[in-house]
Amino acid sequence: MSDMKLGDTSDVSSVFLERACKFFGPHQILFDLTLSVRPGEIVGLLGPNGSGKTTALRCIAGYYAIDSGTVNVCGEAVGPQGLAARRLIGYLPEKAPLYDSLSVDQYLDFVAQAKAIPRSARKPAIDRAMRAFDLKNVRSKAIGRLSKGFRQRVGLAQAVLNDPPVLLLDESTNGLDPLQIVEAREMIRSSASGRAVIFSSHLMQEIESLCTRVVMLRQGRLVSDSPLSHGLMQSKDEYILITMANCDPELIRNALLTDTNIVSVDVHTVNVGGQWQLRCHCSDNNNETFDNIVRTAITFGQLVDVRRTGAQVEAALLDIMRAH
Amino acid sequence: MYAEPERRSKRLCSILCERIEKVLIAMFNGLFSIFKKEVKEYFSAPIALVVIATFWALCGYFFSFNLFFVNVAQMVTSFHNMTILLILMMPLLTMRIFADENKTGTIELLLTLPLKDWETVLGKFAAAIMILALMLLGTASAVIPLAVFGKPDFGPIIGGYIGVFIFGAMFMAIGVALSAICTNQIVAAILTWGALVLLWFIDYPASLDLFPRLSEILLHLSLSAQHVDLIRGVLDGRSIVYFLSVIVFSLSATIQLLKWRRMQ
Repeated sequence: MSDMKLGDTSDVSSVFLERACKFFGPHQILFDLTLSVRPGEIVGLLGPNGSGKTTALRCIAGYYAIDSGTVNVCGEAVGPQGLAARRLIGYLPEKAPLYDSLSVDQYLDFVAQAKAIPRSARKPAIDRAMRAFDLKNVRSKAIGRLSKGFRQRVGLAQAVLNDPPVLLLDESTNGLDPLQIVEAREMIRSSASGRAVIFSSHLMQEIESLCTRVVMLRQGRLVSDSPLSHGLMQSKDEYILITMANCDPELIRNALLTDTNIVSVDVHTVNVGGQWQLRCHCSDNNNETFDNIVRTAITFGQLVDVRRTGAQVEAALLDIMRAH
Repeated sequence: MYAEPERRSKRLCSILCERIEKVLIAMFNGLFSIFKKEVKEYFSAPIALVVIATFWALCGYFFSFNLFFVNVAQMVTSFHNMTILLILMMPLLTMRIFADENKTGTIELLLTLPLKDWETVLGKFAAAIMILALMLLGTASAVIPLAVFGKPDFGPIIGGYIGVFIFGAMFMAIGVALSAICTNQIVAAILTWGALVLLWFIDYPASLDLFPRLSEILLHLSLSAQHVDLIRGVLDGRSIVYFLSVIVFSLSATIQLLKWRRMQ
């Protein structure tokens, strides 16, 4: 599975990794990572903590040099001398790299000049980024005085300042409140058009809501690479949540487990009127199993609510992670 | 009849100047971006202003004391005081240069921007040097009363300033290199103080004269021995080579450190 990739050739890919390996001392962090991302794709790099997502992004961004293999960005080799490749990348690390004592304007001006945007085009580029991320009102404010949401926006603005064909975002919505997360996702989506975007996260919902394709890493190895729209990994698994009242949950649980399509049933209390929530993991997402669950629920108590969760992604991910 | 070649040569000259300007901008754009950012950072945080103001105040205090109470109106004493003050204050200016970037994670931005490592290091060093120049320039006001009430010999004064400036630049280069290996500013400052004090007193074993050759080397490396001539405005070629070597070595080591960091 490790050499699995969607893109076929490096010349049409914006980002191309081939058998990339990275060591920290004696510890190998990336194992033969092969990945190709085309323009217009938003690829979700998913994996548990320590799976190598950040290291992979840092290798593409040129912060780390790989020990073997190839990393190319739009045909330019990434590495210690890879200035041309670095010009093509917009990178936002997990912790937005900001200078607290500078104002938003000063910071973006510095990044614009460092990215070699010509003097005449610098101001329009900064204005464009400020408009895109709604930073005009805070442009002269010191970055250290901005809220976390605004800091993230400044980080995103610096990443897209020179209109790079490749955008690398490392857990960019971490630490934001729900409203800010929604805003940040919208901004990422809008700044992704026409670019190859790699977005790392350990949150499945994040990937589901943003990405067109998901690449999974586990312990530095690529374990899966699939388009998200195709029903992730073609898993047939699903979760059915039933909320019950006036019942013995253990009795229902045992009754449900007699169905061979039901793999497990988790019982949770609901803090409303002595209700119970039963989460059934079904190995096959057919209507027969669903009907059976509803019938059993009605037989053993009062069925308050039943719904199929959009948890195919979650289930499939867990399955893949467990399988490797 | 003669105007045409003249016009043509003028046009050629302007094209050449434009090309040179473009090449220079392309060559030093990265360096200049870092320099500008550093200067803005120095002046938006109070530390640079506090260090400069304290340096000026202390230099003024020592100069006035010597002038009014000891009745000594000469710059040599001031240059000596300046050198001691620079040893105390330079680490306060250099400690944040890389340690802060390492701590806040902005080093990740610097190393992923299309900047060459030497541009990053030299841009930062140039900004620090500008602060040093500003510090020394402020003390030049002390020369005014000397010129008004006496006839000072400007040669040794200018020589002394150049000497103190080179001294300060060397302190800064050592500070930059040590800041690059730290993530804590205080640790960077303490290491720089340690290195400078060690270089100042490195000739101590020479007084025992156990190994004459070694004593000679230590005396040559000793800042306290070197500064005696420098503050008198005597710019010895060997001293200049020594100071410039330390600057070049320290900055090269910092560049290599950034490269090594990437290869890590």
